[in-house]
Amino acid sequence: MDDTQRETLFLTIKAVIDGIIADKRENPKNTKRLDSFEGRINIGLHVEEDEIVWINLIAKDGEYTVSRDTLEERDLELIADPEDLMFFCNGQYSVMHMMMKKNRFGKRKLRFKGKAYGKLLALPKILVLDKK
Amino acid sequence: MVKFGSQEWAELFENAVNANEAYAKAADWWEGDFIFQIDPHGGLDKQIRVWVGLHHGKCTGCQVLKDDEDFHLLKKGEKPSGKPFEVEYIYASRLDVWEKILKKELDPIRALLSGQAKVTGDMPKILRATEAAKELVASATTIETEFFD
Repeated sequence: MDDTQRETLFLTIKAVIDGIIADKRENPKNTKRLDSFEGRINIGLHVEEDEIVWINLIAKDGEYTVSRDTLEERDLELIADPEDLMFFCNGQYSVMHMMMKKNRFGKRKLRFKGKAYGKLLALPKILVLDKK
Repeated sequence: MVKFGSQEWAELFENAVNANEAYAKAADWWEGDFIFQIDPHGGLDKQIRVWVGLHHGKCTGCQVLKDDEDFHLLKKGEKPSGKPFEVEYIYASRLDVWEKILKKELDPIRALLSGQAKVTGDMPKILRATEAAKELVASATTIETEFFD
């Protein structure tokens, strides 16, 4: 993957996450959860066998910011093929599916590090689109 | 064989989408037109833009834009005014990537998530339509397409 493709991927994933948060904000039932969730999460986009593109998500005071690279201090570290991540975000893949099934590289679809299990378990409520 | 990005190809694509029952089912709720943007590469020296009208599982029209014709990308929630070529999405990629997609060598979603293609428009709506997107491409793969050398 070249630099242009990495940048396009970053902008796409950022648009996906920003779009999901905005979509969930349209439902008042999500407001409390979105406002109270706090976390610093490194997300590794496993794009090729030997290449991971790192981005991060900071959630604080109801604001969600997606940026390039990793955070030095983080609560969670997730690694997933961006395609699997997208199917997780649109509700096609459950957390269980992501944790149990293997991806095209022979790794678990969702790998994680960190002990913030509460934040991990809350992620589907934050990053998965509501059904319409 | 018809040349990719020609008006003849566009008309065959419209027919192919309308003959695709799986697309009709997957996109029965969909409203929102597209611009397929083919960026120059190899034998293609200028950008081609194809307007694709999509409404409730049917293709309402498909047209190659002339050089002096422009389109309008609607913002989220913005209602179409009725003018031609008002679209909700642009799917853009280089010619060689389109070729891989249409030859089934590259999935359109993977093209997007490997940075080889770019979509502009409301992401949540399109995330809910991944099956429809795949069927749209499946329709295109039924056309015997000639690419620019």
